[in-house]
Amino acid sequence: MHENRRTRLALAVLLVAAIALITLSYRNGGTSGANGAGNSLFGPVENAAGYVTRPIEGFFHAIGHDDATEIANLQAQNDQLRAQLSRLQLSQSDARQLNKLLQLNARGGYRLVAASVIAAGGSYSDTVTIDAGSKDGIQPEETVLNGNGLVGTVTSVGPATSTVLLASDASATVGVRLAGTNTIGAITGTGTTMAGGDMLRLRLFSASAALQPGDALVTFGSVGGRPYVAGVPVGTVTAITSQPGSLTRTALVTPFADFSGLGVVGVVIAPPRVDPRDSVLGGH
Amino acid sequence: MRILRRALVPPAFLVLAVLAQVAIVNRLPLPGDAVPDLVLLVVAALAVTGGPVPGMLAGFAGGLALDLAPPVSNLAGETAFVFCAAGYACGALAMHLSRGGPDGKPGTPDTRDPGPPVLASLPVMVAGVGLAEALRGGLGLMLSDPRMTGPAIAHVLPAAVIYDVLFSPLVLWLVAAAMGAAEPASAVLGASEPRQAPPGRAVVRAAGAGGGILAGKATAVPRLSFADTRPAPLRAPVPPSPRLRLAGQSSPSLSPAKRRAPASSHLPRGAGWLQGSGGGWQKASPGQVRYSVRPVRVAFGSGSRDGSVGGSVLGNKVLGNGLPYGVRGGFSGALGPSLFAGPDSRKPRRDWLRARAKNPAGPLTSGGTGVRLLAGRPNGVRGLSRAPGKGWLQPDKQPRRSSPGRTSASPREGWIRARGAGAPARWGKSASWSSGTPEHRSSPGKGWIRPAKPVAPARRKSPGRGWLERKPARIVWQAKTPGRGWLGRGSGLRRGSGRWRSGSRAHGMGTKPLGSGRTRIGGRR
Repeated sequence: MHENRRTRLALAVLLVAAIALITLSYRNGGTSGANGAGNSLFGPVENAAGYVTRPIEGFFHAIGHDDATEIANLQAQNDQLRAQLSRLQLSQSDARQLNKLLQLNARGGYRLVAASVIAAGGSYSDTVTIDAGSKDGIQPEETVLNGNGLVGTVTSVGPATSTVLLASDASATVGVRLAGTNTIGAITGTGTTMAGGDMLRLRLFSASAALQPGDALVTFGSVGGRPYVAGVPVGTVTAITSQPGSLTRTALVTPFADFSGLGVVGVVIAPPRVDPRDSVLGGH
Repeated sequence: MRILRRALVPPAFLVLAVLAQVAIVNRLPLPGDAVPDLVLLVVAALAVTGGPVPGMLAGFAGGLALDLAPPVSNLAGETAFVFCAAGYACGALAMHLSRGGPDGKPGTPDTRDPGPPVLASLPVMVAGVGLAEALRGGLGLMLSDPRMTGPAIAHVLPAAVIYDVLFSPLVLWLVAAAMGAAEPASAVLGASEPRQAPPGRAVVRAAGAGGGILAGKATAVPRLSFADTRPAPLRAPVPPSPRLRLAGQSSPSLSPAKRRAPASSHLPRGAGWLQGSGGGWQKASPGQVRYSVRPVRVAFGSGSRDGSVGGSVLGNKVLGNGLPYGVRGGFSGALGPSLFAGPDSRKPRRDWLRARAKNPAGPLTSGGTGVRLLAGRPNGVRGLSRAPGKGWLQPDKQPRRSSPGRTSASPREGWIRARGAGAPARWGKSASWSSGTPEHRSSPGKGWIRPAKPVAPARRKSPGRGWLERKPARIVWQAKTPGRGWLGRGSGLRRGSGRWRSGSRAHGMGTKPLGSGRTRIGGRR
């Protein structure tokens, strides 16, 4: 009896504390001081753990994608950026040199900071942690991409780690432009609502725009390059889903980047001086 | 060492689980777009092996860690809330079940197959994990998390629960193995280490106590044996009264004002939980009729902090495995006692070893007297003692030798009660409370069942095979005049009939064969 009362009191205290945390963090729009503390606290640990777990993750990923056609596709998609990123994957010691090369040679003229994905969010969220933070010059709302295309945007930055909201997350929305045209729209992640995942939902702002499967999308670009810089390849339209007569045209988009198998990514710390338009799409 | 384990194992598991979760598990390209939640599994495993308090603490800490560890994907506190509730629910449910069911129906534990004990709490864990996943989805819906919409939850939840269930046995086994030494008596909860006692053979041993072996024959299965003891005579209550007291190692006082400080145990502290000592018990007040019998108290301690007491020994070394007859251990896991109780602050509570009469054929029964030992979990919380719950040791046969003329004092809570024709069939809780008035709470003084000589550690024998099984053992009691102050019978006994006091028989007990058909714990009736 007595200990039950005490136990329940303790339970109530803990639950109230949790609710208080929820409200605090809710008021701050999902980011609070606690998150910063978590970044500082867990970031270095996760960084260290990343070295251990990277081979493990690579192993499982290799198992999951042991498909000849996919390998062929990946090889076909080897552009210069990807080649250098792959080399970066092989050797940490080459990171700085590759980073410099990337900055010089990237088609879009982005200045990149390369980083590796070291952790991922839970079942419901598409977020990852990368092993670069404010010490590497990364700031919130910077675009993250890899050799294939758009990955996401940085949401919070710790000293040595950053959290990236993937474009496939249900809460992410990216302004896009149909390659070769000026038709603009927005893509939203489908999160985990669809089996097979990793599809993006495109909504064009114009009801009369021409849209057909196979069209490529690049980012439209935000003001100041945040949260998304212009010209980053996003994906290709695979299915038109809009109903006749609807005000907007919607479609499903297959992203260029493989969100479930992210390894090395680059964070754009400075947008190009001029909009690269569709030039970065060359590899696709 | 054990304390260290209790303090370090849960945090270590939580930290490892958080890191493994975010760094490996979340990145696995598993079908179904879901991943198992290792932290939740660890929390549930800690809860079912430790109890509600360790469970909710682990849940809050683990959930908060998940909330703060990058990548942060939800509001801080969400996971802490869910896991905290889940930890409490798992712990409370496991503890509840370990006590033999809501009504304490006798037979529930007895009928339980000894089986691999580690799996006994698996259903609780699975249920808790499933509910937690659902609660998390519901909380996300309530908070309008854009990711956790109805379709998303419907898509993820089944796969997540399936993965959790698949990983549950592994996590539970790991946690139970790591916490093995840290949790004394959660035998039923499966925190035992298999190597310590062969399954199917329950050995209750009074470690460190020089005692005889109370072992039944194969038919009269009282496998309650005081292992680890040498067959040296025990001093036993002269008129054997069946007061098997499952008490804490030392229970200083139920109410400090009225009770004396516990006398030191005669048994090496930490060694034996079969403790005849009267440490912590109060002598009867002068006006009370005293029994000439000293009850034997088998103390299933919650374990004092030195870790070697009572329940610890019982649960881990001995009872841990397959107690066929429902000797269940009780202790709460790592955190309970150490967090909430001082080393000596524990006193016997309900859930101490208790015997039930309802199951005459029970394993501990010999000769038709069903004695079931149920050690619940002492939670180690200070406070008033609780009423003896259901299922205290109740021999259901009428004692052969009882002096009918005397009214017996009602046993204090936790004493083994004999139930017979003249006795109330069952002690309700209220009855127990009524008998719990201070004048009735007199308790045996020290000195019961103690080893005549200190037992050398070298003589301890692990309950290996061949122990206590099927050997008609003899218990040798030394007659001793009960000291004064023993168990006074209160004038206002409302319950209890003559079988509690066997005061008139002060004859010493000689060598008495056990297995003669009665379970004799501390005396014959």
